Amino acid sequence: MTADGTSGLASRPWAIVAAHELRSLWLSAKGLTVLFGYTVLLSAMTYLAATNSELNLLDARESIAIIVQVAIGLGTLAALVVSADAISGERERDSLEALLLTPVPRRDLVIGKMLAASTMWLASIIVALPYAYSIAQGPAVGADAVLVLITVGPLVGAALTALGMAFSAVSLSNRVSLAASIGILLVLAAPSQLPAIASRGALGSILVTINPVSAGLKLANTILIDQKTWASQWTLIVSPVVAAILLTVVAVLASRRVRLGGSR
Amino acid sequence: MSKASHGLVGALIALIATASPALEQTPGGIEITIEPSQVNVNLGQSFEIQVTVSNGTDQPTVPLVAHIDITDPTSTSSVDPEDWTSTLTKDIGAIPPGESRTSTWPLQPISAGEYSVYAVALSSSTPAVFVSTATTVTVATTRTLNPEGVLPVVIAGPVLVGTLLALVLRRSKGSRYGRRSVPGPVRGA
Repeated sequence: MTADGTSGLASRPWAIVAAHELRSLWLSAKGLTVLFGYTVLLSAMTYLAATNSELNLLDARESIAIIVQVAIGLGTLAALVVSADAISGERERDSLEALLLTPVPRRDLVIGKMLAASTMWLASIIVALPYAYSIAQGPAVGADAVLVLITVGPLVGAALTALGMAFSAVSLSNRVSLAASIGILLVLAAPSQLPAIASRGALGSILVTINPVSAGLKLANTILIDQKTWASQWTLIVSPVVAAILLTVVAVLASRRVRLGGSR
Repeated sequence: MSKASHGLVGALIALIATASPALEQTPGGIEITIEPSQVNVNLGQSFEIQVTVSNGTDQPTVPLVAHIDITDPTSTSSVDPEDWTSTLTKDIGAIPPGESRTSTWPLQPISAGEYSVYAVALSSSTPAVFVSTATTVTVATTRTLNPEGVLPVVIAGPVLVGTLLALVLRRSKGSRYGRRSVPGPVRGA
């Protein structure tokens, strides 16, 4: 407790910003609306994948990998959109000036908003856990499905949330921030859609491994479909870890570029 | 032609007949059967067929392969047998006289309907082809309400989040219109 009676954490500027943003995200129905759409889509995908799997039209492990990848991808997209809107959205809503006038350092502003945006992917992963576990019961890879979700999901989610925040901090327009963030996500996800023959080559393999999104999605494939051990696939976890750390640092550094500017 | 030349030709024919494999010599002696003759399965369900090639001649056959094909006799649209099995052709080798070779194919239908599955035995060294009778495969469509037991989760997920969303919307609506009532005049003022 501090001298004024508040606890240490609650008195930190970034914690105050995070608490305010959390209320704004989850109590204004914005976050829950996105999460509701996410669960509807995940339910439809899971039901279709389970139907195909039960008819043996699709390998059961393949169905699980698809659900896990969709859960990670959509959760990341939701968090990315929230973070890409965080600063540039305030600017467009003409509320950035008031925010910058508060006695909160810009770095704390960015950290607080980034933490709040991160709850979007966190909530998505928590919601996706029963889906992944229930569909993975057939081929008995429930534990692996959950482990992939709670390992890859947070790393990819944190990296892309930080990326969206960095774009939002430096963009003067919300449109630019959102378009750039979603564009980068699509570019990063593209190598995972390469035909098998292309991704098996030396260059294709390197491209997939150094890219945090495609590496994370490939890890889901190798663990859940190919039944490879976690120890043999450790290289695929390196780029998501590095990207999560580096992009978070970049987002915090980008807070220096937060300025009132004009919307363009 | 003299009697002596007739005898020479006859001896040559006999020699060739003795040296030639059974497939070229006595096509009728090679028999190919497919079992079972009737299969009823549900869509996606796997089953097996057995193809037996018998050499009823007194000569060994040339090396043979057995190949299966699937067709829908009621339709002109083609069926891709590779959707049903990964291996269409199996090497069964040369069959000694009086012996038989059996190969098993696991099949998995990918669409409902009535199909004919048949097998042929053939060799690259001869144009002769031996065909089996057809197995009739009836594939029924299945409707599963709760595939892989995921139904409770796929319903509960949106219902729970939707309920939370409804509560938050109701709360925000209440705070917007209900709780912001303008205080009335103080009595006695």
